[in-house]
Amino acid sequence: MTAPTVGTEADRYLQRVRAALADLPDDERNELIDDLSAHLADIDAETPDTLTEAALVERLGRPEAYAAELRISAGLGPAPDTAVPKKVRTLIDRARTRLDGMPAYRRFRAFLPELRPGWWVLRGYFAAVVLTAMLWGNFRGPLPDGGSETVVFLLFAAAAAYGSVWLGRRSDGFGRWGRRAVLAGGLFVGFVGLGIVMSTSGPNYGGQADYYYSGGPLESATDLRVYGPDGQLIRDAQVFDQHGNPILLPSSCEYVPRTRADGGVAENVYPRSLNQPPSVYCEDGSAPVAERLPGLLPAPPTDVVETPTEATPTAPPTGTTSPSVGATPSGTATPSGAATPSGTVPPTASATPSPSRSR
Amino acid sequence: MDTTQLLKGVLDLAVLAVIRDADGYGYDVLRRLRGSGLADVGDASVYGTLRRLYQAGCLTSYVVPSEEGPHRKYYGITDAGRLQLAESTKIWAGFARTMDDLLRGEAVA
Repeated sequence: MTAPTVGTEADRYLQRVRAALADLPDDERNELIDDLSAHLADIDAETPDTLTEAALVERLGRPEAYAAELRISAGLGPAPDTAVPKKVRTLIDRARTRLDGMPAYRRFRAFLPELRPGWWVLRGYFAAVVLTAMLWGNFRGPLPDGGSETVVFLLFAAAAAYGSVWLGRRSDGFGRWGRRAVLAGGLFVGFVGLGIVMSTSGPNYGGQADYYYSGGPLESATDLRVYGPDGQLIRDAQVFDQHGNPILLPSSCEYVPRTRADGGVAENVYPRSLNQPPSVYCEDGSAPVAERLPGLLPAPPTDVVETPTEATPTAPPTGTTSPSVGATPSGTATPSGAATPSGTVPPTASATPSPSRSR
Repeated sequence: MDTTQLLKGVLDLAVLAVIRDADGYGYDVLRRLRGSGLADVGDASVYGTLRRLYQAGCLTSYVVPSEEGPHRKYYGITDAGRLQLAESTKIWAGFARTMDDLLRGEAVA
């Protein structure tokens, strides 16, 4: 008997009927499958379009139902009882019948097989991600870092995708538990792989005030000390990036609020820090104490300091109101500390750090 | 009335009757049955019935190679099959008559 081409819907149908007859003696099952194979070929021959799963089910019923009818009419015993209680099975069957009665669901079902090859490829990729992460460790994001590693991974992923498609085209014939195992494995690989792919270790560019450096030479920095062109330490300097976002450090000490002479909160004044869990220990006096500057009140004694959970946004320090508040990002600040904002990139209110949001 | 329920009891008879005059392969038998008016007959039922009748010795089978499409497994009726067809026909005739009488009697009453 000529079997339909591997991978067609007819073949898939055949495989599922075969799986449903798995308990029969080989001779018996092969005879029945040969008959069905020829039958499917006849049906295929008289259908001008390619057979879809929906068309086959419409014509022959679901593969499992076909197998059950075959058993009864051929005088064979019913399929061995499964662990599912009869009541549950009846409910499932009833729900399935009701769903099958809805045209929208039928269209959806008919569309699903189209997605299968895509899922197979994706499953292969995820399997490669999971395996690579297990073998190499420290795998983050959709691709590993580094040129040669990426090439190796891509080759690996291609092989895995090929294997996954190979598996997908055959898994219909695996029998009930085989198919379930494949499904469970696919879900596992999918979820774990997705988790790995979604995780990132790069810098977090998310929020304006959450701009801090992770990794690199600044990883263990707890304070930034700004020196002017004359080599003098600039006290109470503020450091911003080119967007006007304050530079926060990942392992800073406790955030110490400072107050401007006009009563507002002075933001991002160094020594400054990010609010950290108490696991980070900062020695007293490890950071230079800011001196009194025009427009900036002296740093309060550390024992009085209460870390605010929410920093209050203040009016943007503009050149007219309080020139002393913002050190310019240009680095031309003078030792006096009363640096004049250049006006091109003024630290605006959006630069207000919110210590509770960081980390 | 659901004819599929009725069919279950007489499908043997119908299949034997269809094959009696000319051998046929599965799909062929199915088409003949449907052409005779048994539109509800299921594909799997016909194949299962053919298989069972074959194993019971009522049918023989032989494969005819086909140039296009699958090889055909033809079924032909055996003497045992003819015997069973004759007996079943008798039983069916009696049963049908009884049913007819019953239904007619109800209609009159």
